[in-house]
Amino acid sequence: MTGAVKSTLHDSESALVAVRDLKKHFPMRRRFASEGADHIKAVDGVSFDIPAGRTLGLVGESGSGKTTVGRSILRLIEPTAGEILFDDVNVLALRGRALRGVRRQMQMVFQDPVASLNPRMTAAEIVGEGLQVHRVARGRDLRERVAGLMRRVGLSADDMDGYPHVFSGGQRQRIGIARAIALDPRFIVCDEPVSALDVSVRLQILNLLDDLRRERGLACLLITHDLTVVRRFCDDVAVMYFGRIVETGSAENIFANPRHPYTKALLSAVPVPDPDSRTRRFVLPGEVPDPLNPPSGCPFHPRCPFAVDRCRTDIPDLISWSGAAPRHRTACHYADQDLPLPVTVSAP
Amino acid sequence: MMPPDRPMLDVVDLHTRFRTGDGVVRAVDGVSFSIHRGQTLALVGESGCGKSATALSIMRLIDPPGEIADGQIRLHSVDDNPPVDLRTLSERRLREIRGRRVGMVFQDPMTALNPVLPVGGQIAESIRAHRPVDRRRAWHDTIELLDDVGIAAPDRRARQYPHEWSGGMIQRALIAMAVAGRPDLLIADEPTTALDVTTQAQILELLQRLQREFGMAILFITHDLGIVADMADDVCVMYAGRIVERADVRTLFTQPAHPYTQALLAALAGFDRSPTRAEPIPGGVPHPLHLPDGCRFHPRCVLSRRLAADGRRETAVVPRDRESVIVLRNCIRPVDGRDIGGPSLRPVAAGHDVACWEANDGAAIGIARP
Repeated sequence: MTGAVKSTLHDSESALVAVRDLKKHFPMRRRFASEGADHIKAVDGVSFDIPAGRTLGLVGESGSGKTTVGRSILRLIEPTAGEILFDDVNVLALRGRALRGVRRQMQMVFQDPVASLNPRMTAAEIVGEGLQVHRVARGRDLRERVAGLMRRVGLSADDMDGYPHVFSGGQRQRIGIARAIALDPRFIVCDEPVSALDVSVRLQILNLLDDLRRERGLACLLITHDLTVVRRFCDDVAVMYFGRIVETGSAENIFANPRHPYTKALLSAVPVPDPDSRTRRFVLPGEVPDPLNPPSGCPFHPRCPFAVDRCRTDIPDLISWSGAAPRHRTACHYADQDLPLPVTVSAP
Repeated sequence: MMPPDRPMLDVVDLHTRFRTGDGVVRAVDGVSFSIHRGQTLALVGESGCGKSATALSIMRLIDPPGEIADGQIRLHSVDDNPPVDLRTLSERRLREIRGRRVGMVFQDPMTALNPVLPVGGQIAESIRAHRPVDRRRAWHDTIELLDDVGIAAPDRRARQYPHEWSGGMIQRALIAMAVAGRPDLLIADEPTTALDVTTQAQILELLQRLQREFGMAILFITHDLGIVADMADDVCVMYAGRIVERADVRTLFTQPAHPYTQALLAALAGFDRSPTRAEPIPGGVPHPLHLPDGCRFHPRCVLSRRLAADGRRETAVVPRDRESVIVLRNCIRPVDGRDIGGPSLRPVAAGHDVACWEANDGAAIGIARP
């Protein structure tokens, strides 16, 4: 571990999962020397802690690197650099039996409940597969355990022998959740768990995940682009932009007192279900930079309404500022000034 | 709901169905609404409620085994010509109307363009399909259109291929194409669902600006009530092929009368950071081939359950999911001897229609509003 990485959420509390300076660079084949960088820095120095029983919301738009972070933690892809500490053990250094032991305790709920369930397996086979592979249970014991898991996620034991196609999207996601908790994990990564679901069933699934977290003291990484989900269901938030965390803190603080202009723009862009709030929108101009030609200085400066010369040259660190709430850190040179966004739209 | 002036589009009792091997799916089952010039009507609903099938029916883009079985789609003209019924119009006259008088923007911008042709050429081609101009003129207009929807360096960008553009840029280009003929009506089917939230804000702003400039009517199809609140003048809430509530946007959000609308709004409030937890809507959207009898929402309806528990109305016992459930008899009655019934829209206030036998208005039902 390096001393330079102090930008963690819970310095005092003991974290179940601690990510330290995680990097994932994808090599690019260059045809011409003029084509810019020879690798894409999908994740470029991300650090955070998640204590047991708490949920960290990892927020960002497409291309921000949030999914790459989630997959790297579970070693579904191999990170380029950094440490992933699970119970103070660096997961990236583990091999073989030791790795399998840790993997059992870290599970994932996927976005697409259709693609993530094998169509040729029954619900009971899907949910019980891990129990079988890890030789936790078999025979009648296995079936009883699976029935208990099905009931716990709101399905009926009568549903056990159904194949995925007979279930609705919400029910399929319940099967995916039952599979994830089957081995009594201590940590789950939920990657956009409700994005593919109907609006009226999203809350059911999120409430279920929230109940399971409480009951079992799970640490949870909730990866999402949806800030309304984060506000309700996360203790802490980390906002990613262009492979880095640009702001992090308690959910309460991030929503009440956002300091990074990107966080402010994100919050402002979420349509509010209230016809009387139309005039408060700020529309962020431009697009996420091309990862092959990353901007100098702060990666957000080309779109930032407050950018000055310093922003074009110096990359801001993720740091606290005077008067900041505990754990609230922002990667902006002017985080302490709380600049108000200009309102660009006033609908009639 | 509607101002007294003439509407741009009247959809009257539209029925669109799809014949499948397992039965007939009534995707659109008696839908009626009007949109006025310069106004936005939002059609809001979840998957399978028939909102996209409604849009495709208006453009007459329903292919077999689907068919528009009944109804009228009256497009009025800005001058004094009589309205045309798009449902019965000849294919030749329909082609003149598509793209010129009615434009359409779809959900997934990445699949809407041909990946092996430059973006600009495809836009120019669509201009030439509608107007008798030469290539040079069409290219010139293309650059102007791209510039108008906020594409930087349109000259250079127009020569690029779709994969070199972001989803937000392509959606801008497609909107540019859709409004190139200065249509009277723009149909936007979930135009921002595939986009990031900051890009979504840009696209919504663009649509609002174009509407202010050209005065076109917009039929905006979405599942997102936040976008509805942002964009719409009037709202139709759809559920299982039917409109269940119709009102102006402010009435819909402040006095929702249908239990489904109320439950959707209450579920949204469930995302607020509050110590109390909102009850989600139980169950899921029904399968289109296995719609519930009577009111299609009744198996998920809090109002029906509460009134049934109250005991002061006539109830019935019905088998469901290997159990028996007590429901209001009123909610399961078939209507007009048709195989699938359900309540029709009826007014609860001026310009506010609800398809529920039990609803009076939001206050009377007493479902908590944030």
